[in-house]
Amino acid sequence: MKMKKISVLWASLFSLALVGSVLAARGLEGRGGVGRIADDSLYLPSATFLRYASLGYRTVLADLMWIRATQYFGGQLEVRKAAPEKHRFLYPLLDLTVSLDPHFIGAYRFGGLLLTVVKRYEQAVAFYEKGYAANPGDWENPHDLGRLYYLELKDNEKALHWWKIANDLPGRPDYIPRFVPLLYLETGQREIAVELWLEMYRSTDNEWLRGVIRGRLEKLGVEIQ
Amino acid sequence: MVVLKTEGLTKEYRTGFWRTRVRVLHDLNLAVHQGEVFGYLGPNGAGKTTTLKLLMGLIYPTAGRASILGRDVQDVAVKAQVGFLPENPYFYDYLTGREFLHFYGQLFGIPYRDRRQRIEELLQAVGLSKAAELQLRKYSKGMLQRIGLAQALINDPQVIVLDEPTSGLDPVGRKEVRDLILDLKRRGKSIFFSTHIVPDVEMICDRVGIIVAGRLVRVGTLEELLGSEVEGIEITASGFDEAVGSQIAQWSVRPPVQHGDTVFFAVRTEKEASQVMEFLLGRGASVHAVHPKRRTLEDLFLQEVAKT
Amino acid sequence: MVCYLMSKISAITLNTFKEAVRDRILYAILAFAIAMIGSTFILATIGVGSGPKIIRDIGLGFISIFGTLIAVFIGIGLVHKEIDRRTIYTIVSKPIHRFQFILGKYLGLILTLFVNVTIMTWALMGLIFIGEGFWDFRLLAASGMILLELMVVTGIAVLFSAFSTPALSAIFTLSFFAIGRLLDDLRLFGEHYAGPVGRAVIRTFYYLLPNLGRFNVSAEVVHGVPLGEVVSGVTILYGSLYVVALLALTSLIFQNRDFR
Repeated sequence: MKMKKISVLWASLFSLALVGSVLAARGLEGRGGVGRIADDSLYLPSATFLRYASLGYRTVLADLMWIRATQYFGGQLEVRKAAPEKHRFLYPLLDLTVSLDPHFIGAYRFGGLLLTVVKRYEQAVAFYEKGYAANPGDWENPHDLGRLYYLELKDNEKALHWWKIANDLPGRPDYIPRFVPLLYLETGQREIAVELWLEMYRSTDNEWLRGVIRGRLEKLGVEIQ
Repeated sequence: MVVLKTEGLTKEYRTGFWRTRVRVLHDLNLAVHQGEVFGYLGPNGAGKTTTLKLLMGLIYPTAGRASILGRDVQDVAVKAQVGFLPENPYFYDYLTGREFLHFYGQLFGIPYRDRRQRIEELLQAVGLSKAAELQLRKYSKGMLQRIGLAQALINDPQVIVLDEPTSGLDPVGRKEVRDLILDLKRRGKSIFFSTHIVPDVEMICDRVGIIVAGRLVRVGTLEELLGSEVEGIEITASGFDEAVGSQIAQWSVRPPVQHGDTVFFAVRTEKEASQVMEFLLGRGASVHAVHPKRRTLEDLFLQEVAKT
Repeated sequence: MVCYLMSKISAITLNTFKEAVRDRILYAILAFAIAMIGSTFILATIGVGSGPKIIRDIGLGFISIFGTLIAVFIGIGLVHKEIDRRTIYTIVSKPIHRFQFILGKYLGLILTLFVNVTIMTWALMGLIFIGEGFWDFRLLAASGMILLELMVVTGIAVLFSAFSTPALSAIFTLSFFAIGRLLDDLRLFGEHYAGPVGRAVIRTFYYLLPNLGRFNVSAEVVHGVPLGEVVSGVTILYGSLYVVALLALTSLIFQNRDFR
């Protein structure tokens, strides 16, 4: 009988302590709040430290950091904050991601896009340039940079500069060479634009393309021989 | 022919923080002959297991050498002819009895078909045929001892070395082991086993070596060691009163032991025995037994141990 | 003659493998590993277009980590357990050289690792097949190199197992693992700050310690680098020689010790 009494005692103590700790935990939840959670990014480790700590599993850590970055972006969208505060850790997180895995093309592409969307244009430019420096043989970064300059920053010269680079890289999409002459035109280099278009006209069998080029040239007042 | 021999076998260990040298075996010289059962008797810690480990190449001697069947024990090939069972053996408990024996058979390089037959014979001989498919972790201590003996015999060895083969067994188990050893002897094998259980040695050994504190203090046949002198006469009698009893107590070489009505005591010589019996019969007592006592191995053993 | 030697080694190899397979912990680890690999599926869906990369990176990462854990935690007990439990008495007393025992135990663990890594890799490839519709056989190359690294790590664990307690062996082996993976970085770091003598010391250690980073080709395989550039014969040779060196050292230590 005595044994049973002790068991009841322990069972009660266990239940009470457990319930008590759950209540205490819920009490803690009331404090803090979203701001606190957002600020924990303050303690981002340095890239060097992570490189060492990853023990060679850099790409895995990069992927996790990437997920963190996208989650951070999503979380920040819901937060009401003033512009400089909002998304301020986006670039650092993205930077860490690509420091760990410099060849993570997807991170450059989509990360750069995110930075553009939140109007952090300088950071986006720096980000794409970093991507190009680490992956000079990949067309994606110069392409995206050119697009950024053309669409958002309205800097046709820079856009042309980057799209020329992208044009020479393997695997680049076909619309790049078609768009380059247009950029020449818009930067006032009419002759080059015409030349390029003529060359394209001669070298293709595609009737649709020829039609498009004829149209453009006609607008410039150029006759095709 | 000598099948097992040690010459000046010595072992030192370095123990403790200061790595002090401790000598556990001093200059051991012994020999076991073909076809004999040699009992290596000693108290716990005397160096029996150390000797056996040296013989089996588990540890290396500080000085001296040992040989089996004419070859130094460091030679791996010599072990093909030897069977060894360590004390309180531990085995891979996740194996079944049969798998266990197959494994050891493989270590001897016995081809599969021969192995299979031999294993069945051995399982039969040690009485474990029914338990062959059980994992060893389910075996009792007695069963483990028996499967251990089976692995020691799987290569049909010439020389069998056993470390405390009967320790922890019940009387039935001990008898079975003794019978097995005698059977091996009948088949021409030589057996060298260590133990601290004196009766086991007395019952089956041809020769005995007594080791105490790392030294071999006595070696020889039982006859040689004990001699044939009579040490005293033990008498069992009953039916006498206290006066007679105290008289008996004075003559007895040691205090009489009383069980109910019967009294056990001893006198030194046959002459004294006759005198006592006459005295008792004269007083109307009954004499149940008169028993000449030789020096036992146990006495000798205890005597040697007491010397240290 | 070689057959004769090998048959005894293989007896111990298969026995070691049997022991690992009958140890339920191994199944728990394997099930956990496959569950983890399965969970990468979830991570991949929030990877915003980089799903395939994430599945492969993390999947191979898990295979490497779990393989290493198995290699270390079984490896450190491989020899020590036999000595501690005294099961080794009945083996060394048989006509078998001590090095055959070491080799047999080592190969038994490697066999176990091989089976585990293979199962995990095929599970990963199966997951990719379900998600992307094709079998990415390139992952087998990455796995192969992971296995090579595991062979070196196991060798280190077994070496310590031959003369040290499991606790110390675990610490040492894991330390060597960490150092081995960071060796190139450590060398650069050290040479940056060291004087000429320091540099010589660092160079010596650099060549003596195992350069595990060489076997780490998972990132390249996932990135699409052609296999010819990823898997190098010289690397395989390096790994093999290092393993041989470790086993030889282990045999040396094992040969000369007493089993008290």
